[in-house]
Amino acid sequence: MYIPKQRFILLILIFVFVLMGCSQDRYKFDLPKANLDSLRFAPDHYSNKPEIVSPVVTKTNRELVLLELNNCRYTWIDATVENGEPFDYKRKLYGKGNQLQADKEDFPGLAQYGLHTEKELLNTKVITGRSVSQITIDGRPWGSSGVGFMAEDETIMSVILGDNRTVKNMGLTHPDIARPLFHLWNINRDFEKVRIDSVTGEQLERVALVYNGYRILSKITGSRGWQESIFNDEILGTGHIEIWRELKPEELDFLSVHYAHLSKEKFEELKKSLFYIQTGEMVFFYINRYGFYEGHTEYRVDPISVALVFGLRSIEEVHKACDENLHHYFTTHFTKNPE
Amino acid sequence: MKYLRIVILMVCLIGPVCEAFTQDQQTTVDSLVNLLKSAGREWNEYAKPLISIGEPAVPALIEVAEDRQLSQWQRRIAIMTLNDIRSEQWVNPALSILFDRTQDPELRNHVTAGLKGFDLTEVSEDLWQVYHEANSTFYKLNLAGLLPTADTALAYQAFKALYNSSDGYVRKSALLNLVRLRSNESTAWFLDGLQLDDWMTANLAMDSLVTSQYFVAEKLLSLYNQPDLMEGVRWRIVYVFGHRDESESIPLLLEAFKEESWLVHTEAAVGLCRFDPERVLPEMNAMKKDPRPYVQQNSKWVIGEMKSR
Repeated sequence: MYIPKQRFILLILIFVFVLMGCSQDRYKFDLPKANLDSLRFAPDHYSNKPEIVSPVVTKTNRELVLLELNNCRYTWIDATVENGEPFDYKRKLYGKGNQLQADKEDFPGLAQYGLHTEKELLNTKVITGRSVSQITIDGRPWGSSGVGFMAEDETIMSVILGDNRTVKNMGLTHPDIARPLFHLWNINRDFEKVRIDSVTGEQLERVALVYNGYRILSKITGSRGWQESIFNDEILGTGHIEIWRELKPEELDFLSVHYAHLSKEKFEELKKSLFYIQTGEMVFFYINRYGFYEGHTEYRVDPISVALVFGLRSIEEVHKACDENLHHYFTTHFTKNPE
Repeated sequence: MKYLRIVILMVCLIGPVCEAFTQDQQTTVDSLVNLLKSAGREWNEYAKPLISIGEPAVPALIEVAEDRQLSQWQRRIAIMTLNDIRSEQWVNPALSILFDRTQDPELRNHVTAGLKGFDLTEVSEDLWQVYHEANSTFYKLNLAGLLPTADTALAYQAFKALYNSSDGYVRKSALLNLVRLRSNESTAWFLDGLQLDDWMTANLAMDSLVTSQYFVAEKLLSLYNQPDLMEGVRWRIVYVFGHRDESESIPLLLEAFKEESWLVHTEAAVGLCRFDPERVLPEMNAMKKDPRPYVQQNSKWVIGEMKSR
């Protein structure tokens, strides 16, 4: 088949444009890129903190995160968010799974831009072949799980709509929020394999992630059995994940000024909501695939908390994104459906 | 003559070969059973070949299952292996353990799995007695599971009592067994299950009504039209009609389409898309002028979905 030269060039340009669009538009928070040579990866390590920003992307597009180890040592680990081998507790397969997959059948906007359009949500009545009302019935407390995937007064669509607006208000996308969570998950998955110092035989201990200038602490434990997904997908969950970081003095000052009207108890609750996340790994996949963070349940991953804990946005920026009332934001359920 | 000699030789050889094989198999069984007696978490490595051997392994395993000198764990794994072989030889020893009140309660519960499906009519009264004495609902469920092959009337009573007194998995299993025992009552049971505040049982009832051959649409409609019926139950009825091609389906879905409840009208919209566009589209076009925004929006959505097919 003969293709004229001009048309061939045009086709190539369209192909490149589509590829760029697919890969770049989904992130708005760019990770710094650097030409890095001779980095030390676990179990090799540094005795002083390297002066390189973390996370960082190499010229081969690997996403590296700096780990703080026991005895004030540091090491790099490859935590790249990518689609890998299957991740399936039922079949005892522990690959990365589909970390970049978005549900383009039901949410073409999300798949292309990393955010839903309101029109897309208005027209969503079915997700993965299940009606959104069925997903809601299954997702409410004492449905497919005791604590539920959303509160009794929320629906799958009211939650997706609410969180989509929040993420948009922060100038971020759902993949931006999912990425640091996957970094943490991938590090937890891979560190076990590289933690033994080949020279001394010492077992290295992971203390914290160095992430956008913050020390991120975490605790991940498993449980017996697994939780089935409320969508018709392969996602399963068994982990109990806690993520937190300490407030910086200027963050505490900011909150003390803007939320001075709160009682001591409510102020502490607000601090915990902002700087502490408790969840399971299912949500990481849900965020990227559907823009779903779970409703107001024990396992919700609030995008505001992720943006703040991982340093994607400052305390001032998240305060603005929530109409300057973070306390109201954290204590109000998403009850408005897109219709 | 030549062939006759070969045949005679082969017949003569069959006996010793069989005996050698049997002896060899018995040695394997003894060795595996010995390993099973001291096994930990890896017990399946020995249980699986014993299950494959089947009947010849049963007597040796029964000895282990009955041996009170052994630990509860060792007897338990022998019982579980026997249960999987499904041998008639195991029925009487299993019943002896089940009816012996001095035996470990967990072991008595475990033997129930090996008795399922065998004719137990001779011991129906004893089974009923043990069922009544049991405290744990899961144990009761296992015992009730033996009654259908002992006395169906007692089985019905047992499952009915379990259905009314428990929830979750036990209630769901009880419902499933009740309709197996009396399929002519299935619509009534599923209608009852549909109204429960128990997600697992209500889901089973709903899914069963979607596929049931004993479907009585009027009963479901009459329930739907009851005043103050819970939103969740209304949703389930709409879901059922949305998945069944009944003459009542489209009229009910059109009614539900206008309901204020988001769960109900959304399910109705999704359900309508499964039906013949020629019957649905005129109604949807008319509803585009409805004053309620959700009715307008959903009718446009249904039209769009039907046209894109």
